[in-house]
Amino acid sequence: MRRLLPIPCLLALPGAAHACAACAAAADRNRAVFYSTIALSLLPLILLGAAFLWLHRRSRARFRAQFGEHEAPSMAGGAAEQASRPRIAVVPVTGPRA
Amino acid sequence: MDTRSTERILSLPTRGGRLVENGVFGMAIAVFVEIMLFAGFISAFLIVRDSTPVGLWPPPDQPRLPFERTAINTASLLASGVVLFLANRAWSRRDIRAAQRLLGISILLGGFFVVAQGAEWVRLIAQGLTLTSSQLGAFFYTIVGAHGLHATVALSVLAADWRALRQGRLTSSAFGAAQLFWYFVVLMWPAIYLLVYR
Repeated sequence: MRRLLPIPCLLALPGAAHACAACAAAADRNRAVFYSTIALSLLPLILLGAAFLWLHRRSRARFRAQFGEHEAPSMAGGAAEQASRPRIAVVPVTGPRA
Repeated sequence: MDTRSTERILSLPTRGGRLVENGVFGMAIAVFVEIMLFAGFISAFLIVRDSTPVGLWPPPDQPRLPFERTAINTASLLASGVVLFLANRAWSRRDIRAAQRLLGISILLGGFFVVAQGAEWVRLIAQGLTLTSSQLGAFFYTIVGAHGLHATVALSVLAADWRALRQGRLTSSAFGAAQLFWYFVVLMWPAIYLLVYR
């Protein structure tokens, strides 16, 4: 409880907190500071979000490339769809006895 | 000699392989840091410029930045990025000769940008714009200098890749990392050009 005591004190006396005046004051000359603060705060989040989105899309594309052709054939597909699918080749391999 | 038969399913997908190559991932982290660095530079520049009284920016006794002349350098750098993209496409379809030629052209265009920027600096210094002459000079040489340094390093990396491609030992990780770095240099420049030069 004692640790939380400074918070209401600072809220009651903002001047004593030495808070950044640029964020609070609506002066025209502080506009660049205001927008810069927003931009610099959002930029890392945007970059990380873009990176995750890119990885997610890449992962999905790769998964489709690997496993897409091994999905079970649909019931309505018929012979034409079966013929267009790549066949699983079963090849006998000979080798020395283990 | 006894043999035994086993069956092997040829068309099953192979397991393993990375989603992103190590080089590309490492470069992506570096580029993330560099973007934040340049964002900080540009932000500081805009704050100082906008807090200057009306009519005093750029400083009256300082030369104006050559916006029109630098457009040629900008076009050269952007073209370099496009040509590098084409080089990557050629490399993806295993057309090594075309990839080597396009990568060389991309390096030359990037080299022209760096040399032209250097010539511009010499002209501006001769006109009195130096690192200590004004806030404009300090910001200009810091921001554009940092970008020029990145461009030079990226060109060295691309040149090393060009050599590796010629010797047939270029890896997709190395090429991907170099491309990422160069695209960062190319795409960062229009922001600097439009915000600092104007």
